[in-house]
Amino acid sequence: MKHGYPEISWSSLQQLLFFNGGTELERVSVLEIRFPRIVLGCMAGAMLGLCGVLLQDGLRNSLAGPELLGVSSGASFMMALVTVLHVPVSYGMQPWFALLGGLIGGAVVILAAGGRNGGIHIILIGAAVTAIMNGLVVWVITMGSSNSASLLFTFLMGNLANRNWTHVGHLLPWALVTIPLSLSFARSLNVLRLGSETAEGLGLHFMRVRIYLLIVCCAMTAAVVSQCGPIGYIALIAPHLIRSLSQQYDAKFVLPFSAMLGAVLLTTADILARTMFMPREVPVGLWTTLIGGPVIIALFLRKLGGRPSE
Amino acid sequence: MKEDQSQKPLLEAQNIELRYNDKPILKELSMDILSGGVTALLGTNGSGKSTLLKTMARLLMPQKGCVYLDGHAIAKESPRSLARKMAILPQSPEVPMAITVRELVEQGRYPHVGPLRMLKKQDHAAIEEALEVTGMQAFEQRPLDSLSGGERQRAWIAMAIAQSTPVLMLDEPTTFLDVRHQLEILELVRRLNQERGTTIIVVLHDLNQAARYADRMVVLKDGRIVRDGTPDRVLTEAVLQEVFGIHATVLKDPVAGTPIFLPHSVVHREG
Repeated sequence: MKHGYPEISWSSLQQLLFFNGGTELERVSVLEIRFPRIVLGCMAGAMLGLCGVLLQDGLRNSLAGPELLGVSSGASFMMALVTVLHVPVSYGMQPWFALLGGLIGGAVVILAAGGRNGGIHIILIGAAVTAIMNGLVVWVITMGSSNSASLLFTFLMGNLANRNWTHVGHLLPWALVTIPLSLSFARSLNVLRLGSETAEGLGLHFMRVRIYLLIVCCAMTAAVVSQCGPIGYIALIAPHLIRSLSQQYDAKFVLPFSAMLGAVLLTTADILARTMFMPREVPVGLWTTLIGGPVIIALFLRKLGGRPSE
Repeated sequence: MKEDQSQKPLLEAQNIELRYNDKPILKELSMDILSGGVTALLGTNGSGKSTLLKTMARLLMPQKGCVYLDGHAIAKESPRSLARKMAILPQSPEVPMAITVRELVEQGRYPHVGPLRMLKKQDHAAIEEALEVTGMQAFEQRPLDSLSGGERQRAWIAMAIAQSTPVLMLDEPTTFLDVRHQLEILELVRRLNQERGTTIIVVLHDLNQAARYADRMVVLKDGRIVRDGTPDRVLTEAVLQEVFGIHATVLKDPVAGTPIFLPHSVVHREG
């Protein structure tokens, strides 16, 4: 909150937050611009972090993430349609459209992958659906006016800039519902780790749990995408970092910590995005992708190096 | 029901038909399991013995027929309530990363606790007991992937025991183990049956071991039951020749008194 223009000292920040102090410019930039941005980043990051754990453990595939399941791109596509075609929907309705798009993207992938043979099939089909959706987004952009296209472009980069309390208000109910729901999956995820047959033998309704998981993930991703655009790699990285730092795979542990790390990662990336090339801003989605990609490669290389037999 | 009414079957498969990719695996198969015994399912590879076990545990749904547990169709029961009545240990389950023996055994309580609630007193008691019965107490903090094959199998069995079910099904629990660990597992199974009255259904490959540890041997061939009875009546030279395709001599085990076979040669079929 302190950094950026105008630079604000710790003491005046304190003044400002708790005693209504500071100049008007400082007050506005902190309370109306930076504070909501951080709150939004925390919520979105936590939701993405949870999403990663749910998908990776639920599909038992360490590469699973909303980006690869057609959910992100489905939601983006819907948002593109709404923006370019000037569909007259109120701002509050947009998450529902994104959700619809995300669910369609996710549903196509799940149905196409069909039944139990989860893992790799879902990822391959997800990649294909994502490619198609992204193609459609480009197509939609070419149809639109240059104004809405550039608007859409900044959106599709994944961005926390120019977000205010309204955005926070839109995301909050989603976060309040989906975050506790995600955490409640911990026990089931632990059982799922034992394999689908063992899990079913233990009384887990395998298909049903998997579908619930995917719906919750779709909802979280779509809500985040509708407010911040598709922010890559947080969902993929946060769980992996937590697991490799702690050597813990217990979902009761990984879920909450991934949420926290997701929040930290996203807000940190956003602060970097805001301040690194001041006064220009780099969209935070670009940052997470640019940093996230190499981190993932490093993580996997280390894992491969450490366990050649697996 | 010609039998005594008090001996109603605990588990009952009725006219099970199961196809996989249009290939029939189980054909019009019926079987009753009485409470309290050790039943071994036997047969050559592809005879359908594992499929039968999975069907009875509802891991597979038959296209025709029905499985009843205590007179209730298992297809209509919720997975949770079923998992409180029977436990199944699939063949060589995958080993999840960085899980300790205790954490694994804890998963056995899954059907007994709610999605949010913590483990209660009776859950911890069941876990302790399962660790003790299997002799895994000393290993409880060890990661599963650091154990030997036999210890790992005992850990999995401990998980199934922690499930506290009257019926326990095991799919080839001795495969890939050396002979000492094989006997260890079979003795454990026998003990569970005798001391806790657990009804056990186990898929085995080794006929001599089945004859030694099971009360009843059920032999499958091409998706049908071809022999069913006590080891003395099932492990015969005729069965070995017709079902398993070997010439063998059947003797009496000088210590256990159960039948035991010595293989001689493969039966060469003409035409």
